[in-house]
Order: sequence, then C-alpha cells, then structure tokens
Amino acid sequence: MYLPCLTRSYRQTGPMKKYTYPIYSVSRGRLLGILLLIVGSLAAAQDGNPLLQGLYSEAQAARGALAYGENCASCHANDLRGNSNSPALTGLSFLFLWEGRDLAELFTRLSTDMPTDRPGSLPTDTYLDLLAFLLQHNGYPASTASLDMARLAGEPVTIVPPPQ
Amino acid sequence: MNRTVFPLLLLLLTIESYGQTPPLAPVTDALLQAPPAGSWLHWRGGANAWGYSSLDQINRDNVAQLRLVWSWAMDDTGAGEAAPLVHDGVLFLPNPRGVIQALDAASGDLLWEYRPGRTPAAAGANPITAAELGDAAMSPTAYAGVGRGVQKNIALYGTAVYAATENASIVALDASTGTLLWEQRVADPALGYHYTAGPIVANGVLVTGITGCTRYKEDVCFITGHDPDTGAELWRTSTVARPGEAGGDSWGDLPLQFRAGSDAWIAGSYDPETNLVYWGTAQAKPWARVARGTDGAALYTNSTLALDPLTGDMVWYYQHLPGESHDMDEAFENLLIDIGGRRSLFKIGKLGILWQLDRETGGYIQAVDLGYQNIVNLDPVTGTVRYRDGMLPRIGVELDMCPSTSGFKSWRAMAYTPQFNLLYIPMTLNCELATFGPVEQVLGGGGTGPVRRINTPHPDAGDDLGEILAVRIPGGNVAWRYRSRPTINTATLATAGGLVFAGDWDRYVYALDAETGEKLWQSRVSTSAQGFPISYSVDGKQYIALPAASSGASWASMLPRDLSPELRRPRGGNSLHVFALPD
Ligand code: HEC
Repeated sequence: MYLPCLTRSYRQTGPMKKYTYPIYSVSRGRLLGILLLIVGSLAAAQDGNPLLQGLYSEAQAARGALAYGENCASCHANDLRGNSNSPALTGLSFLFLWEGRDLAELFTRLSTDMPTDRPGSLPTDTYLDLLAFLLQHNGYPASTASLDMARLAGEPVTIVPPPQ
Repeated sequence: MNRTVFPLLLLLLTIESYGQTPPLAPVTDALLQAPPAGSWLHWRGGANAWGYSSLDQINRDNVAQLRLVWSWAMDDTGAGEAAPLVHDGVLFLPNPRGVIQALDAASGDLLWEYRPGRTPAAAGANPITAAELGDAAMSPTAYAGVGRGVQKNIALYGTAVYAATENASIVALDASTGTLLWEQRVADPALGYHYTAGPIVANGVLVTGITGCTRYKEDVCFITGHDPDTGAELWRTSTVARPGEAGGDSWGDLPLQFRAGSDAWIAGSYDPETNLVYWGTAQAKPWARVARGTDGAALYTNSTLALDPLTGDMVWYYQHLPGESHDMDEAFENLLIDIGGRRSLFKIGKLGILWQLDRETGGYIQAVDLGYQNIVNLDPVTGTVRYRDGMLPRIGVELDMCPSTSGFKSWRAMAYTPQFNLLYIPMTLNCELATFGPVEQVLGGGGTGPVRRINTPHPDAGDDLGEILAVRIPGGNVAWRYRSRPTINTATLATAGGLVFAGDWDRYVYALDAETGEKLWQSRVSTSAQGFPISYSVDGKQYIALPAASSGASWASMLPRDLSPELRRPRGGNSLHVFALPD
C-alpha cells in the first residue's frame, strides 16, 4: 500500500545534526547537561564563529522586537515559545531545528515563508530586524554593526549554540 | 435574557442597525431539534451534524445554471474558517477575530455588525476590555494567526447569537441588533487559552470546548457548560485525567502541569434522544511520546467524550488512539447516524480511519482504515490500533510517515446524505519526513515539541493533493473518489438535490454529482475556498453559500506552499459567495 518512492527533490533543508541521546523529555538539569555536552563537542567549531562575536546591532534587535509583536507573536507567542502548531523559536527547540545549519537559510525561511498567512509580505529590512531579534532572544551577542544582506550573502555562518 | 434591558435595546436598535428588520423569531429547542428545511441553525446544518440540506430546488438537472447573486468581503485580519448560520432569512456570519455580521440572506444587505470593543453593550453587560488582557492582548494592527482569531462556528438560541473568542471568553449578542448582552471570561488567555470553535446548544445549556493547551501550565484543557441567559458557568469537565482520578495513571507519574493537550478545538454534537453531548479531543502534547515523558494512554486525549449537558458528567469515553505519538488528532466532527435502528456515531481523524461507535454506550462497532496511512495497524474486530514497527518517533531520528502532521483529514468536516448512504470526506493526500525533537519540561515550556519537517506528496496520489472520498456506510466501501491537484479546502455540503458542494485551495468552488462524483458546476472565487459551505432558502428560493479565505490553520497554507508551488493565490480575500438559480 505505502511505497516510499520519493522521486522529486523537496525543500532544501541543509545538513542536520543527529541527536542520538535516548532521552524522554528533558528536565532542566538534563538540558543543561546536554547543552554542555554539545557546547563541549563543538568548542573547536565555535571559536571565531561570527555569531559568537556579534552579527547584529542592538537597535536592529529592538526594531525586530516590535516587528515580532506585530507580525509573529500571534502564532509563536510573545515569549517565542510557540503555541498550537507554531514551533518555539527559542532555546532547545530553536537549536534542535537550526543547529549546524546556515544562518542564511534561516533568513530565507523567515523572509519567504513567514508569516505563514501572508508569506514574504514584509520589507527585507524588517526581516533582517526580525532575525536580529531572534538571535538576541536566543542569547547571541550584539555588535556595533548591523546585519545586512551583504553579510548573509558572504561567508556562510553556521548556527552553533549561544555562549553560556 | 434580561428583559429589563429591552427598552435600551430598542434605542440601540435605532442607532446601531443598518437596516430595519422585525425582531427575529426565537430559536427554540423544538426548532433546533427539527430545523425547518430552509434554515441552517447548527454549524453543520442539523443537530446530527450531517452537513446535509433537504432542499432540492437546485439539483443535478439544473445546477449548471447556478450564478452568483451576492458576495461579501469579510475581515482580513486573520484566518477565516466561517460556518455561517441562517434563521428567518438572516445569515449570521462569523468573521476572524470575533467580528460577527448579520446579513439579509437573500439580498446580502448588512443588518448589523458586532465588532469586539466597538459595538455598544447592553446595560449590565460586562465586556472584557483590552486593558484586562494584559500581555495577551495583541496590538490592534497585529495580524492574528492560526488559533488567534479563527472563529469557526457560532450558535443561535432564543433571541441571541453566541460566540467564543480568541481571548478565551464567551459572548452573547442580541440576534436582532448585534448588541453585546454579556461576555464571560472562561480562562486566562495569557496562558495560551483561546477558542477557535464556538458553542453548541444542548438541552438549554451552551457547551463550548477550549483550545490552546499546548504549553505546560498549572491547568489543563476543558469543556464548559454555561447558562445562555447570564453566561454563568454551570460546569467544567477536564479533558485530561488528573493524577489520583480515575484514569489518572494513564499519564504515568507526570504531575498535572505536564499533562498538556487534549484540546477541544472542534464543536461537538448533541443528541436530544440520548441527552448526550459528543465532543472530540486532540492529541496529547508534546506530540511524541518520547518528548512527552510517558508512553501511557494519556486519557482523555484523542477520544470521543459523551457528556451530560446539565452536569458535565462524562457518561462514556472512547479513546481512538491511546498514547498517540505523531500529532494525529481525532478531534473532529461527530455525525449522528442510525444504522439499522442502532444509534451510531461516525467520525474520522487525521489518519483516515473511519470510526463507528454506539452513541448510547460508547461501544466500538466498526472501524475502516481508508488505506492511506502507514503509522498504525488497526484490528477491525476490536478497534485496537498498534504502532507499526519502527514508526514510534525517537528524538532526532527521521520518520517517513503518512500522513504528515497536517493529517489526511482535518477541521474540514465531512457531509452525509441519507439519499445514497454516503459520507463525503475531504482529504489532503500527503506525507512527511519528520524528525521529532525534545522539549523543556518546565512550566511555560512544553508545546508540541519541535519537528524538522519536510512535506512530501503521497505515493498513491500522483500529483494530486486533494481528494473527496465518497464512502458508503456502514460497510466503508469507496463509491468514488474526486481527485484534484489543489488541496480540498472546505467542508463538504450534501443536498437532497443529489449534489455535493466543496471548494479547493485554487479558488474553485463546485458541485459534484453525489452518486458518481462527476463535476456538474464550477465557479472561481476571490481566494482559496475555505470554511463550511451551507444551503438555505428564503421565500422559496434556494441558495448555496460558499466561504473563501486566504489564510487559515497554517498547515492549510504550508502544504500547498511546499507541494503545489505553481498554484498562486492573493494574500487577502476572506469572503462569502452566495449562488442561486436564475429567476
Ligand atoms: C499564522 C501563524 C504564523 C505566523 C503569524 C508566523 N509563523 Fe512562523 N511558523 C508558523 C508555523 C506553523 C511554522 C512551522 C511550520 C512550517 O512552516 O514548516 C512556522 C515556522 C517558523 C520558523 C521555522 C521553524 C522551523 O521549523 O525550522 C521560523 C524561524 C519562524 N516561523 C519565524 C516566524 C517569524 C519571524 C514570524 C513573523 C514575521 C512568523 N514566524 C510568523 C506559523 C506562523
């Protein structure tokens, strides 16, 4: 009856990290342990990762917070932890979905598919602000320079866990 | 209803009403139980939820002549999944974000409009102000998304219209003027609670099911009974078995805070003969057992509940998928159909398994796997479902599953015609490469759990995403399949004219021959057909009303985005389109 004959190419998803730990749901202590483990194992990769140096400006993130309230919070909730079928965009959930993938891909996802009820309807600068806000909320440091399209088009930035 | 406010209402009538209409005849219990042929008094037409109209002026011979008689642009501030009602020649239209309009059902003239926070309230009414909403209040310009803003069904009873809001309150409006009679806060929207489905009326009680129980909090989802006159809460029944109660151990040793889900997000049905309310519940949250922290049955998730409308007591429950683990809701509409004298209840969930229960006892009668899913094995003798080998999600391990978390079937309700003993099931044929992730087990955390999802077409469906499946009951044999590239995006409507009406994502609305599935009429509307089509008559003339909307439950937007990217639609366009034969 069901044949897994998937012949077309589907949406580009990029490389994904495989989580193999056999856990049930994650308690706080365990979560910390897991994060430490991931941090430890990726320590080398993290050195010099531009995300950890700061890739967006505070002003950008502040604008992004406003745009988030207007355009995203109704689904992803004010605290970014999601509701109904809209996923959390912060913490463990964010890392599960995005760790190891390219920041530019996250931007493409935001700016072409969101909000799901009128995809791609916001100005590019607003999507950049929103990405800055997501990064800030997830604990990545700010810098003095703003994130722009040129930076996203440049050297790929791999999403790694935020500094502890 | 408070009679002392009547003089005030008359005053407001002159100020607030756009047209002058005589007061509507009260909607009595007798009317609700035997609705006149030309009315549409329940969200699915009759109390039996058949989605069936006994009107036959429009029929297989003349349907090709159908033409638009009026249309109406609806609020574009959120998702439209409207289930209009018709009584006494007035069409009551639920718009997104709590807006309700009354329109002359024949001409399309606006009679009144209720806009939360704008329309005057009757003396003694207690509207909830924006200030009271605190953090949960959205700025007026915020775009309501899935869940926030969806208003599927409303109810009519006595001389009032009843609705449930995105801010977790229930409102009563005067049916003749739209004036707010009362507003009752039922739960705290700041915790995520909200309504997407409205009340039904059962034995004089308003029964409403809440949703938004995705994240961990100190309380769980529930169904309430309210007094239609005052809004006072009469009872509240949890849809989750609490620790220490009967069934409480079906969640292992999880404390109440970590028992999430079981949202009651689709309106139920009421049978006056059994005096029972039938209501479906959603899956447990997080979706995957492995993220939930228990592989117990998690009562009363994914169940059909039978409640006493006067007390809220659970007379029986039937759990369709114990310990569900892939976001496969069984929360949808309950069709009350007697088969060979046996009072039965038919329903279908996301997996595409059609269930027949005894609606007096909750006993299992029959289930038919419609043959598209690859997640469970169903024992048709006992109704027991077991997960197929390797199909239970593990954290970080990709599953190739059919359907996707969108399901084959969703809120788009099926219709039934006694003419041919056929059910018309709107299906979306799709699969998913799904990788389930963990959640934080802390208050405020939880949620559905993250899923890395790649939508894929169904291997049995070629390029087609949409299907209307005509299934003969009780046997479950397929009479015909109507397939289309676009997803079917409305409930189905069956009429005594031998017709089935529906519409798709690609803006087509159409009538099929109910016996053969042949398309007999088609038109194209402003945006995706979306919502609950209805039929009614005014002064001897039959009408078909088909809602359209541009957003919706996100899955409705996402599957076409990924799987039929060549189809395009406008961003706005929530609207209602009304068709009739030429005079
Ligand atoms: C109408 C509801 C809705 C609105 C509004 C909305 N989203 Fe989403 N979003 C979703 C849903 C549902 C998904 C997951 C399903 C999908 O698209 O694959 C999602 C997915 C995402 C993802 C990707 C998560 C993943 O699966 O990898 C990001 C990032 C995101 N949204 C950001 C935003 C931002 C930023 C906004 C505001 C501009 C926004 N969303 C507005 C519903 C919404």
